[in-house]
Amino acid sequence: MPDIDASNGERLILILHEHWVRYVRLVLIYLMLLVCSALIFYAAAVTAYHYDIVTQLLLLFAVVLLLVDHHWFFMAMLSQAENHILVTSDRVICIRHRIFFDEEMHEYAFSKMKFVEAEKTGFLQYLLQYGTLKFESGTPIPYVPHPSAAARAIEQTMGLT
Amino acid sequence: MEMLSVADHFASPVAVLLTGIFMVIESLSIAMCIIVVLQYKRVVSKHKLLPHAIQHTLEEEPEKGTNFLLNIYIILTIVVVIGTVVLFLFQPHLF
Repeated sequence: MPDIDASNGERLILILHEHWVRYVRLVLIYLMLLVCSALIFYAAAVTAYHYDIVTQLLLLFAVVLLLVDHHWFFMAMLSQAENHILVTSDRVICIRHRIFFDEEMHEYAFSKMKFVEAEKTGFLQYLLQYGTLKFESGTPIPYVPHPSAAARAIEQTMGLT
Repeated sequence: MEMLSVADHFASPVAVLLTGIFMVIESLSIAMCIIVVLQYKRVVSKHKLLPHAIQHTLEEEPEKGTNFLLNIYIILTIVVVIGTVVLFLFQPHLF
């Protein structure tokens, strides 16, 4: 656990990354589109006995689908890999990125909040140990791994426990 | 196995058009990869807005994982582009 002194006295207590379950949907869509692309390649191969316009169009469509899928997947993965939840001695900072689309940075200052809640709902969240962190005000932070431990660490930093 | 030759792609106006479209798509794919990598580097450098110690830790720790992802992305883009260009140019007739 990092614990480094900053020049303004703010110390980094904890860095959390979003739970890996966040990547599951991405990977499934990626694989599904990859299979679709492979099927179109196959269809192009089946029709490819002569230089036929249908074959060429199918091949072009398969290539476009493959490339779009490839770039979309890595763009989304890189965006999500850069999402962090930082707990410092003064605040909780949640940083979210979607390359080319948006960037969010939510800040929850300890001076303005009295409590933090950890919430796990549903079988999957209990099984895979992830959930949501809720604060007095502001947007809840989803996909937090071991939210109870994170809430405890935040409470300790706030001096509530 | 029967294959097309490069000359077949310039045999008719339609073939030339399709080859042109294909080459534009492949070029756009390489350009997209470069733009995504540059944009990603810009996003990472935005951590500099955070306090120095936090920024320093963020730059060192997660980058090990994301650099691997970035390398895989670049390598796979090159492989996919070369693979699809070869496939389009020669189009081996499997059936």
